[in-house]
Amino acid sequence: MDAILTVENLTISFRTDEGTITPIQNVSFQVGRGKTLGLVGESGSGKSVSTKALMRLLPGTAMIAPDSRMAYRAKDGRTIEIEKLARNGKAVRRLRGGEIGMIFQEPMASFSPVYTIGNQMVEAIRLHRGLGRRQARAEAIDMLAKVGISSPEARIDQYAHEMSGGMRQRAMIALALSAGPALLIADEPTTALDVTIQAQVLELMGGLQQDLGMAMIFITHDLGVIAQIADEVAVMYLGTIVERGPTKEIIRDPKHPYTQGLLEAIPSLESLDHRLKPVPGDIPSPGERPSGCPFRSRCGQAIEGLCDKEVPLETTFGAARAVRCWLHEERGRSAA
Amino acid sequence: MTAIKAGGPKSKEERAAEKERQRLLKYYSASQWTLIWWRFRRHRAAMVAAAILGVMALLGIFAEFVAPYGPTTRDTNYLDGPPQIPMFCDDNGCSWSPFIHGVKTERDPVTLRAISVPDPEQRLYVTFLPQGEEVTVLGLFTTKTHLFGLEEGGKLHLWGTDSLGRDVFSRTIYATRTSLSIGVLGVMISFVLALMIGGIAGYSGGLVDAGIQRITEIIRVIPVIPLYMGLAAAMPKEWSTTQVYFAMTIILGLFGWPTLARRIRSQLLSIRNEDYVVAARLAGAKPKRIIAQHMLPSFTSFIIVDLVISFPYMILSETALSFVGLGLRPPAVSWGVLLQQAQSVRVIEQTPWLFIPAAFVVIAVLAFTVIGDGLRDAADPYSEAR
Amino acid sequence: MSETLIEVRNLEVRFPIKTKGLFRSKTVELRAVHDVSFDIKRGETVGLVGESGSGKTTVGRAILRAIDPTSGHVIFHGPGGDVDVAELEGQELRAFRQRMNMVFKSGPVELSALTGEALRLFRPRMSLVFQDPYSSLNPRMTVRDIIAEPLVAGGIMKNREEIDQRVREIAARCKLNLEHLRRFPHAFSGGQRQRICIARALVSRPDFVVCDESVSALDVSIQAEIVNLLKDLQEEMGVAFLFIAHDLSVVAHISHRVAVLYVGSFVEYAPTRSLFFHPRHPYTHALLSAIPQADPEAGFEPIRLQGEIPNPLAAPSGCRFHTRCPFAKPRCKEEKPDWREIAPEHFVSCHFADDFDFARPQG
Repeated sequence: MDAILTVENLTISFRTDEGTITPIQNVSFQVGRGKTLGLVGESGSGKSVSTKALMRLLPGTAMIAPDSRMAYRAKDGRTIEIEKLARNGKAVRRLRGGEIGMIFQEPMASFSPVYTIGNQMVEAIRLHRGLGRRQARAEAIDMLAKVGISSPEARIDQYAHEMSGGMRQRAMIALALSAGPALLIADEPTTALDVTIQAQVLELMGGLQQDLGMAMIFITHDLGVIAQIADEVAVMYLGTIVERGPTKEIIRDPKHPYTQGLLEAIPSLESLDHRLKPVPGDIPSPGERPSGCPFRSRCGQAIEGLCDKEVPLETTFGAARAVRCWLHEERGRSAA
Repeated sequence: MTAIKAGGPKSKEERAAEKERQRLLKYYSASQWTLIWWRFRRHRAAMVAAAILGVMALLGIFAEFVAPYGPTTRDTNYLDGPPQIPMFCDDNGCSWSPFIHGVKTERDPVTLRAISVPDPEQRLYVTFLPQGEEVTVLGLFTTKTHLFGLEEGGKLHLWGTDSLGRDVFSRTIYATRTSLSIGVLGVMISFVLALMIGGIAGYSGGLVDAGIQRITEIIRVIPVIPLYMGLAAAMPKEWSTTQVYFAMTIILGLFGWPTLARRIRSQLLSIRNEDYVVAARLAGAKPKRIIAQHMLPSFTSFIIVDLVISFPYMILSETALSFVGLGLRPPAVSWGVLLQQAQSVRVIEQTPWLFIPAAFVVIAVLAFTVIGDGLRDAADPYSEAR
Repeated sequence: MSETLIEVRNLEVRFPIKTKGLFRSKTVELRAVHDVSFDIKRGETVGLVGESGSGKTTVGRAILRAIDPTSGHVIFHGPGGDVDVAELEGQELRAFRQRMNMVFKSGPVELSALTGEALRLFRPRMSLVFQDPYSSLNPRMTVRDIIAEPLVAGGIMKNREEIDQRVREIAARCKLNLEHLRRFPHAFSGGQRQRICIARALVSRPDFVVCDESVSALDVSIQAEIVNLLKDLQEEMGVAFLFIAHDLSVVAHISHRVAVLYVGSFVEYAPTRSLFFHPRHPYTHALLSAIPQADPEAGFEPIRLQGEIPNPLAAPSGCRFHTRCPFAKPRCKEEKPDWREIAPEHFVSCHFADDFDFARPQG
């Protein structure tokens, strides 16, 4: 696979009131050029933390383990080792926006209340693409039109708070795209939206990605959304990727008990008479992480003496699929 | 999760895990104040400042015991005398207990004025808990014992004396009490006013709020110094020092409330629509219960921060007023009064030790500010929890 | 199940909006809820769906009298007579909220604990579960005190041991660990917090609880767990829910009947199956088509509605949906459609509903 981003053994820990917690442990994934990787998991599973690490946006209390690697293939073909860049250095600033763009759940967070959206877009375009003011403005209008904002010539001089929720979300996407990133990180961009607008935004993002040939990391807890937009999925639980592979295969044939549980928990219109099936138990708090397999405290198929003792290894199926579960390892199968 | 298992050999990890669980349990059951204390404790500078202030407060409270002499007691043998620093060694050798040299009077060869100079031949040893003037500590106990002094009835002036032979150390200690207590009382008065006025404005809202806001603004724009001057000038000359003292605290308190009142009002207004307050309302709670149980506790920590931060202003106002002669007047002693005596060039030149009280003012103000900073960081233990 | 608990008739909520000019300020009325009528039966769940700004929350809060309705009636059928909630004031309103919290369905123990006055009064009760399980719990109270608050504040119980017993009972029902009662909310995850909120809402054994987007902020697994919990509690306690949400598939799972709200008015109200599989209003149909399916081959083709949701300050004339409706005709612009029963229990507000039956494949 022609990977634009390769993350290996990413481990991040924080010091908090509750002691040192490690929200990300040995996370490895790849994003192919022009492909979409979906990161799925419940809140607290470390989806957002791992992508913030890619942008070097973590607070100072975060510690990235020394053997973590985050290699990004820049537009000019060089490989940037993100973990080695100085925080807030020039290289990091060039990376943010210009190479890797980011959009959030709350669009107001991306916009300054004192600048029009045009101001901010023009600035981003000039900074990252070196265009003149007039050209940049034309480009910004073009981009607003691309994300489906009607009469972009007028809208460009509005403030974000003058727009409706769906419009704002589109404007935020336009802002992130205007710097011309090769990789877009979308952190729950549709979670706060109504279904109709969510459908529009998903359609829009899928279309734009095709047009621009951009890679994307799409973070969400909604497998329904993932099914619509992602080529590949990585399912996270307590800071570890428990299963990854092509979206269709994972949804058709989930191998990890947690992925199976997540899929079964989705309320479906096809089975209105059945009780919903939540994954049993609660997510352990960061300080009470189980030994061995992190999921074993909620797993119905846990093997005593193995799952509670040893962290499962990653078992691969074919070229693209991998699962971290003893049930799919030789040793686990013989123990069960 | 509750009890530690009895007996049996346990691995290191198990013990560590058990300890961690206990610690977490403690964290989960910790109340607001415990959380604030835990966070405040991590703020080193604030802890140091708090310790310094604690010592100052103790010095003030036990002034009669700590100070070797009364604030107006004169030592006519040692006028404008420099600080006497206890030492262990001099030209005649060393000793185990600290001592100072005696004092003899000589004439200045140039001005022919009588001046006090140390007499290296005479050694006076410093003792602890000697007998001295009879004083009443805390208004309760009568004692002759002081914290320290000189043996054989000698007089120890740690930080020198002023032109009337009064001990600067003792006066500073007494002044600490006056100045800190004016600060406390002034802040208390303005706090009570602020709580009532801001509370009414914030809880009722609407027209009442608008009216109170306008009055607050009017009071805020009155220039303070001329106002204080006018009020201080209106104080009858024949008032006793105690009366003047209380008048001062009331004046300071009466004009200190607007900032705090606004703060309380805005806090109330923002908390009024919090989901948990709405929940309490829907549960049928009466307004009194809503305010006392749900609203007040959620911003008391902020109020405390504001109170701590407003202390220095009170202290500085008192000091400033007394310094320009409008506040407390001798024979009362406060930091301002002491500094007023240190105004002239002659003092700077000949008796610089009269400036020692200024160090107290600076230290106290800095300490309050640093504590305020630490408290502000700790005041909302739930801000990061989300 | 067939006994009516709450009757909402022509409910109208308007908010005055002040627009400040340089010299004079104008007051405009925002019609948040416009002529809404529906019934809720004892022990049933009514789902309320609509996009943000459609007035879902306002309907819920107006029924609870957390917001005062501008006009219309909310009639509560209690065992001792009917009360028009919309007409209560001050002291009386508070007494009503308290009375609603009174205990009358449980065994003889509680009955004997009631005072004479409480017995005389009829005892309808209702409460609210909020969306955000973080801001709706007072961080400065222990879980036990939070759950006990409706009992203490409403003056229902005074005896500490009785309160403790009741709190434990409801906490156990809501699957909370009893050891956790001594802890403060900061010790809990979102799902656990929402269970605390539910325990608080149900501790007074109400007849009626409004769940205002109560599962929207939760992860799918926790969502499923809370939905199951609410269903179980309903079965055990016979409580009726008004379940407000924007996630249609969750609403479908919990509700017996579902109402669809568009810019302050009901467009459709029907039993869940009829609404989801035979929607008669074009807006309902569009909403349903936009639900993402966790099946990449399910054929996801959302109907694209034209334009934006209209500003409620300038709601369109006639049928409010005509500006975005793919089937709009001139009549829709001029004439407001009636609220009519097109099939048994199936209400709709559309001139051409007879022509539409957007039947969907049923699994």
